[in-house]
Amino acid sequence: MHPDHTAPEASRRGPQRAEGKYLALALGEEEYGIPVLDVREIVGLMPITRVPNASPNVLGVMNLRGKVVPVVDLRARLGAQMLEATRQTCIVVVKPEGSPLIGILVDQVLEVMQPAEADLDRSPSVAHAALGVIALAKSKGKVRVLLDIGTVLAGEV
Amino acid sequence: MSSKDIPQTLTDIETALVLDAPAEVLDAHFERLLGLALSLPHPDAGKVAAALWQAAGELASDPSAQARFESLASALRSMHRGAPTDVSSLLAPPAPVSAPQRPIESTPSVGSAEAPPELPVFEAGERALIDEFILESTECMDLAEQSMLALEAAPHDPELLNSTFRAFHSVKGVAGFLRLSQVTRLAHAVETLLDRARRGEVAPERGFIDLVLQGIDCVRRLLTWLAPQATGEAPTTPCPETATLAAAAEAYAAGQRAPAAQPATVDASTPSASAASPASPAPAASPVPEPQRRPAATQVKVDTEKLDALVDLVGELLIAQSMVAEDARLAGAPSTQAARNLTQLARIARDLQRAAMSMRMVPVSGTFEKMVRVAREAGKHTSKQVVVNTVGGDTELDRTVTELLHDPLVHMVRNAIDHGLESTEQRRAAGKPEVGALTLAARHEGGQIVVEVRDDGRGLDPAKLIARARERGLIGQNEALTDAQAFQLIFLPGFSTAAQVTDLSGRGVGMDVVRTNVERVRGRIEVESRIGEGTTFRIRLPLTLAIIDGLLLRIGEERYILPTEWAREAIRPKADEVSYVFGVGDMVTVRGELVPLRSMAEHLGAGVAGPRPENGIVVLIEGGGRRCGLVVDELLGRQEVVIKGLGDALGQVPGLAGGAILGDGRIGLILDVRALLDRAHRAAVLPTAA
Repeated sequence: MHPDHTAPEASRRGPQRAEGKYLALALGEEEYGIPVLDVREIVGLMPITRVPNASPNVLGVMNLRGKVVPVVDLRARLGAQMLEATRQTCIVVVKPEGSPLIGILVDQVLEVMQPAEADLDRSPSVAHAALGVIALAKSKGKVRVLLDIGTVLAGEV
Repeated sequence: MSSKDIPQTLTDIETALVLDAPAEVLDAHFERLLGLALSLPHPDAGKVAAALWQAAGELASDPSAQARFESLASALRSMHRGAPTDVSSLLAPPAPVSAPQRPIESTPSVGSAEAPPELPVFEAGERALIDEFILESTECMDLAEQSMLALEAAPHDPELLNSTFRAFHSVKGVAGFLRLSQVTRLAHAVETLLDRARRGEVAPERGFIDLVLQGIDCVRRLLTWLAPQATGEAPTTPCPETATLAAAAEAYAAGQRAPAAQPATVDASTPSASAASPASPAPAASPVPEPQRRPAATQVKVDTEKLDALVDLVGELLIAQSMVAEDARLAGAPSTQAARNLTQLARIARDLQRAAMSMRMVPVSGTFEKMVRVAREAGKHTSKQVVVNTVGGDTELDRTVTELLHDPLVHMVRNAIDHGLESTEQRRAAGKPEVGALTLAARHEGGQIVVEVRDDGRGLDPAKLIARARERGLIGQNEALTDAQAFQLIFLPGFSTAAQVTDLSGRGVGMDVVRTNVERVRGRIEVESRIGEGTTFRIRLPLTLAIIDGLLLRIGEERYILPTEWAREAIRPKADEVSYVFGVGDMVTVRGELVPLRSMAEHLGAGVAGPRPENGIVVLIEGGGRRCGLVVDELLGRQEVVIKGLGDALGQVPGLAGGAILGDGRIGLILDVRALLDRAHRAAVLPTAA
């Protein structure tokens, strides 16, 4: 019986996600970008407890300051090569809209980038909303796949 | 609010009356009707609807009410059609019939002589609801007051009107549910006024704001009046101008700008008040100026999420504290000063944890009171006379447990009345008191909370239960069961003892759901019954859900936690005590009894083969009459851990009950013992049943 205080929440996002900033990641030999808005923090590789009967791409759970957070191997999910863990290997904690906290294991975090619209390829032959691919971004001679990480992880954990 | 719904609502009400629907259903219909009627152009429509509501309340006690009800209903239908309808004769104050036991609606004829103060008759169970209502309504009124005062400065801010509207709407809703007719009436009138202002039909000018503020004050006075009287004397009328004020608000809303509201600053000494309360009140019971007694101001409302976060953090603090202590110990003998400080830190951390935990605890009485209501409804439905006793209502339980306990208890109470108790005739024939007794009891017992639902009905008949289970194919034709095992049958899915499905229980969801719910809060349920004497359902619950006492096991590379409450013993079996039984697998002989074994490494897919039972440790677990031995690599120790879910992302993982952060900061997974027992049991039972 509480009076409803919620004011309409100002939209956090611009209308077009691809115009925002992306965190560029290396997974195996390939490079990807995920919306910075979905990233909560980046932590070093920490002990991960394997969870039996969880889906195959789930590495397990980690202790993020007292919270139990599942960790997904994004390389396995996207079919990239599996490299040995190095000092660059780290866990990016993401919270896509409408989804709980999830850690994703990546080989390296590269940079935060803001691709110009001219550098983006959104043609339907590459951009697959259902698969979570927003666009391809050309950057410094490399092509990065911009991912809608929420879609990519949906159904994963 | 569209007025085309009036005939439909009237039909709903008539149907509800014929079907003897619960009062809250009826009240909801009437509330809708009242709202609809007030939006009709006919000036008296609201009064007719109110009179109808009152007449409905008198149907049982007053034979003439039926005729009045019908003519009022037809008047309302004709108003709805827009036909000119004269209702003056209908609205004449009814002959003073015996006062209804529960006032449903205030006197419909506004402006007539002040009715004697309505004394709400609270049922025992309602006191807690009333207190909650007072607390929340006081907040609502504070909010409404702020909004109204702000409205003076910003008359065009629609949100201020909206929030005040919502505040009154909330108050009205609950007051209606609690049958606090004066509050309902007033809140409804002010709400209507606010609604019209919202729609721009009434200007939010000074007179309007004054009127709403008077309404707020009056609601507050009514709330103060409802608060427990220190003197224990019968309360007198709290706010004599309630009716006048409500009428004024209605008139204002209807556009009659004439200030029908006399400046309503009536205090206890004015003639009207003392005239209205002839039983000259004790000073303490008289309406005191409002701010002096803020009901229940010693409580603060806190979001449960914040509370959970606090408990989580305290858990982390404890872990960090033990790590520091461990480090200090390893670093060599600390100085006396340091040792003392560490001890002090440990003590504070523990106290803090206890305090944080206690914040989540609520007395079970609130739940019991709801059950008393459930029992009353169920008794009415089945035409059985039931008296409900509650024992130990002040026993405190974790809030989450209380919430999850609610549905199982409702089911058990209904079951007890529907199936457990005999009909009045049967009871008389059996030489029992005609009135059945249902007891709800709660108590502490050995670090656990025990909640009992006890009836003195016909009891469970093991022979019938077994026959039923055979019929349903739940047990083998020749399987012999002890009485205790037979009682456990009622918890099997697909088992219902009711010969026919009744409205109340036996809808397919049965005691298996009860057990699942109880076990979800890590509780266990037991049954005790004697034919002809009654049945007792006993639920054992942990004191808190946040912490468990666990055995730390090593299984392959990982550590797992087994809740200690399920573990019976850990043994290192000799090779000749382990035998392989075809179709079941390995079994171990413990004091002459064969217990099925499960290799945990296999069960959890550890990747490496687990030890043979004779090389590892066997932890015996037991629950619900089932036993099983878990083969693990090593028993690492015993530890209290703070339970965490596996995160929203993973949700429920089969075989696991959650995770916990261990002393070294890594996560250990908690085993779901029931799932293990179920699997072991299936494996052990199926071959014999086949």
